[in-house]
Amino acid sequence: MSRVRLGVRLAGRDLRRRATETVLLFVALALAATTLTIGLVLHGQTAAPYAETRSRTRGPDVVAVLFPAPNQTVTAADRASLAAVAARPGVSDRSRAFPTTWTSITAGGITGVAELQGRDAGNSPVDRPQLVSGHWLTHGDGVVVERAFALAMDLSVGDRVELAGHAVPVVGIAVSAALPPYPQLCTIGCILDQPGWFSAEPGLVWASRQRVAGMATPQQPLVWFQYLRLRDAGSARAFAGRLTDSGPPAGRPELTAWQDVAARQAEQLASERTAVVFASTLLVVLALATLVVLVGGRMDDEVRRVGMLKAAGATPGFVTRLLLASYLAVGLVASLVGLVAGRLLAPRLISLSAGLLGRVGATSLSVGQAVTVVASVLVIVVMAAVVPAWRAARTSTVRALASSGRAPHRGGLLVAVSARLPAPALLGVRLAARRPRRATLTSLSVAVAVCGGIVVLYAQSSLHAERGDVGGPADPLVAQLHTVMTALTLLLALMAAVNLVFVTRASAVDARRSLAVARALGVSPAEAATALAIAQLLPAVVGLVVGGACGTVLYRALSSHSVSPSLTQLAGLAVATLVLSAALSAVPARIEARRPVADPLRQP
Amino acid sequence: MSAAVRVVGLAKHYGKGEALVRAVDDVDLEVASGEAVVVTGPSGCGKSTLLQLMGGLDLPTAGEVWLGGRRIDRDSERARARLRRDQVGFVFQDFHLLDELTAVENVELPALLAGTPSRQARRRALALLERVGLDDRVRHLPARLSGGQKQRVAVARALVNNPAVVLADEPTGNLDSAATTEVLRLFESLRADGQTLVVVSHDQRTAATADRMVSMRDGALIEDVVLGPSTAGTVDVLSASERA
Ligand SMILES: Nc1ncnc2c1ncn2[C@@H]1O[C@H](COP(=O)(O)OP(=O)(O)OP(=O)(O)O)[C@@H](O)[C@H]1O
Ligand SMILES: [Mg+2]
Repeated sequence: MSRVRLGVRLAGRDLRRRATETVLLFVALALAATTLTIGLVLHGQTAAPYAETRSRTRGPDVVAVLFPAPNQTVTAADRASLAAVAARPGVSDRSRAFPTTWTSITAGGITGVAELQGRDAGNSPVDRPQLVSGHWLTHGDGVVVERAFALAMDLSVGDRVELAGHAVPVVGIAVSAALPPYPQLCTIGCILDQPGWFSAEPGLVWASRQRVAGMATPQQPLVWFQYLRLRDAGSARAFAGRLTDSGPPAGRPELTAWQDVAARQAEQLASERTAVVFASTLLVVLALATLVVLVGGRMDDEVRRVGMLKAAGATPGFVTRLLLASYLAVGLVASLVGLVAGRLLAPRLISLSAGLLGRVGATSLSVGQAVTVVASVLVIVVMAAVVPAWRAARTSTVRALASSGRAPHRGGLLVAVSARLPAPALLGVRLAARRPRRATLTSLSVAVAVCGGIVVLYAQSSLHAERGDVGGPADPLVAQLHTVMTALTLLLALMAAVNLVFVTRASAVDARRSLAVARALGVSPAEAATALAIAQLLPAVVGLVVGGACGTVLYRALSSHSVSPSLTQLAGLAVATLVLSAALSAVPARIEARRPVADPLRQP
Repeated sequence: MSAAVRVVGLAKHYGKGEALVRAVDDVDLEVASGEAVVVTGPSGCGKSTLLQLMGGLDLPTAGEVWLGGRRIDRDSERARARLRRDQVGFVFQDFHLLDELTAVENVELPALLAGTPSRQARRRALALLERVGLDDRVRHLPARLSGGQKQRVAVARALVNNPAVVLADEPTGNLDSAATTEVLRLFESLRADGQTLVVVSHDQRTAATADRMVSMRDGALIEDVVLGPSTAGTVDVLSASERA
């Protein structure tokens, strides 16, 4: 139908007429969609990999660990009690009891502690670690290393490691669901009775029974692990609880249900999720702030255009659909781009939990999540279109046509004070006073960005403190959190930059006529540009202060850590923010200042 | 008498090829100090462009622009800005007052921009507002002023830095007959005080405020008439006869 075609053509023209704004709108929406996607992908990561690993490795429902009494070794009577547990009703399948001990491990200059578990060359009925590379234990003297630990120690198949001074080859790297991966292994129980091991986090290494038996010392006696499968996996906690309730475990095995192992795995993901959820919230707020600025900046123009269309005979409904169409087109493309970008970025950001099978992206983005992203962006965009449409509908056609923009605000005090300032500052203060709502938005977007930046700084320094100087292999969790934080900080900074460009441009366009008049009155282009930058910096300073306070309060509320970032870091953030906003406002300011003065004065 | 403004072989072209517009085409014009010149001509003949070139708002395609004995068409934008501030007062058809500033704040703005101490700038602005007959509207925002009053504020603003020349582009174009009379009377008194004036206008009555009338067509000067002193003081006569 020709009216549809007319609508499409008008919408297309409108977008092209404001190419810069359209591009900025697009970037803002695409960034919001990207973060949302990353957030959602991460959100789906808790349960799936553990469940998958458990089923693919015949993971146990209950882990039984038999510790010797202090300063003794495990006796035959103790072994009998372990066998008794494994023979209880409800147990459907069991592994052999595996001798286990702890020893120092060194490779490529990194020294750590290994939990050495003695295994058979053949398949165990319960817990068959899934090989990621290499092969399982043979009758030779090689060892197989748990993947997260191998990553931290920078080990691959064919490397040699020193176990208590004996060089042995790494023949395989594998993943298991029986125990939590490095660095959470010891939450199930370790004996680390050696000087210097106090704060060590051991990693799991599988070796032959003979080797493990040979490694045991009086300080590091053998401990026995046995893995059980129950007829009803859901009853694991009850099964473990019943035994623990019946007295202290002297000479009796300690039992752990699979759900508790899963919870350890989830803990690792939880802190990453918190960081991502927090950052995506900030990013979405920034995207919203950008949109408000955008819509606010276009409002008067939009209202006048609506008036023109109505005068030409368009119905309010047609006008609304027209507005919606142009916004929706941008929103749709932006959300699709954001979806793809987020989907590609997420696995790069976080190679989650090396100790589990299945990675981010393997579980991928569901249709529902994709719909959520697109729908969220479209809802934002529809709101952005509906406001001016509603305003225009309320405005009479004549008034809309005559609309010379929202009446500028008069900051009497600021104007009076500014009379004593040098020319650029005088103009700058007056420009800032002119549009208090826009200045508020500038403050808001700077505040949101700074708030996020401060939280990231706090988080980084507490991560740093947590790692301390323990030495040993790097904690992959900390390394990953660093990666996530850095990536999110970059996204945040990018968004804040887009937002600042946006606000500044809107102010520049708004100030175009005033600056042209000022230049006709003898203000130089450089002074005009400086004035615009000052008009931008004043609210940025306010935003900096508010954002700094918000970040500190937020982090204190969210975290139990009391570590603060250094003053240099905080000062650096403040200076960077101000320099960035000054630099960013310089760009549109210079563009505006370079235009021939006559043009804006000519427009009625 | 020295020339306040002088243009030689002045040309301003827009576009190229088929679409070339010779907005101003080889114009020579000299405005003596203390002289009041009115520029007339049909719409689109290049009057505004000529005025913008004279005031250094825009640069010519060819030719020279001299302001107060100094050639300005090769100056940087910055230098021309200084010159505009100190030597030129602009008055526009649609006033271009800053909406958020009161009348007196608008008038004092160029003085403040030129570095005049704020107290002194305010005194001068108040004196000028009194001179244009608006001493009772000093603290009004432009939105609360009539068109004629706005234009009188704009004239006061143009005068605040004691410019060598006032350039006015259809200052009465947006005004009704009564307001036009107010503004023309003001220009007349400026002329009487020896202020150099170049006024673009369609309004026949404007001629009454001028010593000379220049006519343009298609970017070129086609007529340059010195008006006799007898025409002076006829604003009231003409507006009265128009009303009749
Ligand atoms: N920026 C520009 N780009 C292209 N052409 C222009 C530009 N500015 C003016 N012109 C053209 O130059 C010519 C002279 O314009 P100018 O505004 O000087 O006329 P004018 O005599 O002031 O007309 P009016 O009486 O309607 O104000 C016109 O044909 C106009 O279309
Ligand atoms: Mg004109």
